[in-house]
Amino acid sequence: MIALRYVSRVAIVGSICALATVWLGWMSLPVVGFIYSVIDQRVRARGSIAALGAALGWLAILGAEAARGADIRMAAVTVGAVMQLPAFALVLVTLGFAALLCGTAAVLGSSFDRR
Amino acid sequence: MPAVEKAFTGGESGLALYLTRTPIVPPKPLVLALSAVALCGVVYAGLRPVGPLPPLGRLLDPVSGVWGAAGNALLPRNATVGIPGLQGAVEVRYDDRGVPHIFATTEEDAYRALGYVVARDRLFQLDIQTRAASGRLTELVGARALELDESPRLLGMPRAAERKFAALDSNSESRRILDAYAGGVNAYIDSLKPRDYPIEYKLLDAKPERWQPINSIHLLNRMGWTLAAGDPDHMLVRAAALVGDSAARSVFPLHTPIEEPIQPQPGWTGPHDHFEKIAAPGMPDSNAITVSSLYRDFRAYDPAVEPQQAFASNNWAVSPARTRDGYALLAGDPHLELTLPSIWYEVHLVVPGKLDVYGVTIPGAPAVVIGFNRDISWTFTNTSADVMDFYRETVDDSVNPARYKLDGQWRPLSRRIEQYRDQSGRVIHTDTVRYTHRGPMTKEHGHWVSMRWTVLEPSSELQALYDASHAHDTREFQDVVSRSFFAPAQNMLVADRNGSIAIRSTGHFPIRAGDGDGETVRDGSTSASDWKGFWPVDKYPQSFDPTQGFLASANQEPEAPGAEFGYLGTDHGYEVWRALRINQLLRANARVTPGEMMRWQTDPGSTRADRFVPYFIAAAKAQHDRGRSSTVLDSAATLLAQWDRTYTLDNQRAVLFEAAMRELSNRTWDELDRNGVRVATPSTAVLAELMTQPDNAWWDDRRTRGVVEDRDDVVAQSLVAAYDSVTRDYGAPNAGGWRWDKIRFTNIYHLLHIPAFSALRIPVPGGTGTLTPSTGTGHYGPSWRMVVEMGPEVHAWGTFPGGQSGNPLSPRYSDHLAFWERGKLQPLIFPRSSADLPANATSATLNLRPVK
Repeated sequence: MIALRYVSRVAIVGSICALATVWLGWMSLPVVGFIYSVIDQRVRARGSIAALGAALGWLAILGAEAARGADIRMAAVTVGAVMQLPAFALVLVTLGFAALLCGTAAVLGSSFDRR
Repeated sequence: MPAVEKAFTGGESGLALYLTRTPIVPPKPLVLALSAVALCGVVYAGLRPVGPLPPLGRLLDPVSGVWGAAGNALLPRNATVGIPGLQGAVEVRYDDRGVPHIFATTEEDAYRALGYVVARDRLFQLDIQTRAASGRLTELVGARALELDESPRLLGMPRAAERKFAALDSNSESRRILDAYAGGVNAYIDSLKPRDYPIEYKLLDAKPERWQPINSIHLLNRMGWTLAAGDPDHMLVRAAALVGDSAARSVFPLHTPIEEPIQPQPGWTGPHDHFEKIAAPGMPDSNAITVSSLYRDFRAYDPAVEPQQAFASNNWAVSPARTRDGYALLAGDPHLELTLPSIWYEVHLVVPGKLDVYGVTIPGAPAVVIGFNRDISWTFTNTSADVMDFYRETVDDSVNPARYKLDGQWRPLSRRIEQYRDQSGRVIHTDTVRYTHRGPMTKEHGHWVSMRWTVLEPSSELQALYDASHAHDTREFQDVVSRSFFAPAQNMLVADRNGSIAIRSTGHFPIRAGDGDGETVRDGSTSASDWKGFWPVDKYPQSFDPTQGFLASANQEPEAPGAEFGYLGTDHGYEVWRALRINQLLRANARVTPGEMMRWQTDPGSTRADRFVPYFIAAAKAQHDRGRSSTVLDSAATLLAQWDRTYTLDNQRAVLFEAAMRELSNRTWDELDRNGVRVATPSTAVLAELMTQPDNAWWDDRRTRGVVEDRDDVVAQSLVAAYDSVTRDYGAPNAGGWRWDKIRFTNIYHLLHIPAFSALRIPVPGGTGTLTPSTGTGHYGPSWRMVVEMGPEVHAWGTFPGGQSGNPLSPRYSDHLAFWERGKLQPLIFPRSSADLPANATSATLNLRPVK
């Protein structure tokens, strides 16, 4: 039950991150993380929830692109080579970038907690 | 117990409890500070370029960043798009090779649709090619491209394009097509969201700019620069500065010593050797020393590299009498710098009753450049004409001149300020380019030198290509293209359905004062030095339906010595070996088939090897007879004698011959070294001429004091040195390391030279002087191979090293490459209407509709 709550928070944050990215772009992620953290003050691990949610949100976008026929694997291999990274590393860098944007903003947001 | 410790002690208050229910404990200041720093850092990396990387935010954004390019890799199966300016509906059917067949009701609509589909597949290429042509790359990539941008501007190319564009009648076909094409390109650009931008823009953190009709003129001028900027004059002058005028003219002759001209010669049944006694190297020519300093862009030549033409294009046509099926055949393979995406884009334009043309266009040029219609097929090779001359000017101020002297009168110099801007529009550099009535003027080693060049002169190559698409027979084709195609001069080969074949070296060839050649820097202070006009068309090298039944060109000298207008260029600008081979193959076969035409395009045989190998073997024998033999020399000669003189992938002897030729060139022309730097290297045809003069003073190696070498000494030494270097680099002769496919490669770079987007180290057959030459760098080669049979129904085959798409993530980015590597051509689909294109051969459909 408790784990479900955690997962559901991650899913909600992830969905919001994905939608925000589609509509507003990558810069929306810190805003989402910060606002989430301010709102959901009952939870301690908001930083990790936001980080994981953002990463999963972006992963979902890539998955949706793949479902539409985009060759994400080839993109990872080719663009990774441009950046001198193995394919999996490019995916990790991408998801890590989202996680950092959202997660760190969430940690900062937690400083606004009511004592 | 603190909450955190409690959380990790298990039971109901385990990790999950910690995550969701632990009491609120504000983060420690250190954590907050670290988070703030990390957030600032990651946002900074997201917004600002880090090293060579663009801002990570826009780059990694899964919607609009590089990942978005994967979503655009495939064209949608069906799409309908509104395009402003269309007069009627246009149907575009992509065949299974990704070639768009455009069915329109007006020609303007067809070219508007062409602009749209080319932009759809090749937008970044369109953009970067014209920026390069107009000297505006800095606006895309910043100051690092400044040097690249200065070249076209100092040559006067943007100004020339502006003048050509301004000279177009607004109602002319050329202008209407330019405008329509631009409308199509811009319709596509306007439809894009950032996520749709080609991946290169994302890597450069840039965006496409709207297309201007003049861009097409810039692009065609750029082709002129690529193909007609060769100026052979400096070779002769630099050689004369070292070995005297007489010797220099011997080794840099006006005419190629081995002749197999494009224009067949009456009574000739094969190549002619016009060998003369080569003058011995003498004392330096003081005048040449002065003049040589006036030439710009001095570059040293690698003494170990034999000069060869990178733009080694071939074309040939066969009359029905010499083909198996009784139809005229035409083959063409223009050789250019190979890039990904390819310089070519295949397209088929149909306007019922008006236009039905298939071929390749250069993205950015609203025209089929090489191709065929229902009546004719045509292709080009470069004429390699010398159409660039220099003039030493007298100016009123050596530092900041405002006037130049002509016929005793001061004339004002026109000035043009060239401003170079960066991505933000900031001016980062300014040049002042001065012009005389001849062309742009630059300061070279303290002297002001102006230039006249046909590429900068008024012309309308676009009109010529438009007219070519509509021609019905060989005569009409040659007549219409000669009217307006002036630069770069091309050997235009055409075959028609009536069985006629014809070739003409078409372009503006200057008539010069005095001796008529362009091998000097002329006195700019007198109008007597100016060009007197251009050759009349009937004097162009040409042939219509020759009795020999075939025509061939491969960048060789177009006509034999003795023609009325004798000077087109010098031996150094021409290449003879491929022409010899093509003519050899054509003479030997009176029942030619399309299949043979295709095979010949990758023929591995070498007339150059046929000419030189016997000398190496004979030299080894001569040294043996003189008692100067060695085990290495005997072994090398035996290996060379075993060679079949082909450059197939599995060949294990060509490497030895190529090394021997490099050594031979290096040792023979040592007199042309200045301070250890080779300033010019004569052609291989001249080397062949020298081979017939075994005691010529050029054979003496100046580096061996007290010893006078003759030909056999130098040739034998070259062979021994070659054997040593090849065994050192590739192992023993039969250990497998000598295979040609392990030594010579084609390297096809992406336009930005990004290795991940490039196709590198592709083993290909062929070597220097073969029909499919692989030059040392591997950057040049056959950019489009085409064979057409002009029967009652036109049948055609073609391929190019790349694919239709410019998106490196698309399966169509390089899908033709496998065919090209194997020398295979693909059948080209040439339907009369969209209904004739079978559904199973249609990969996508695009319907274009007019909108306001």
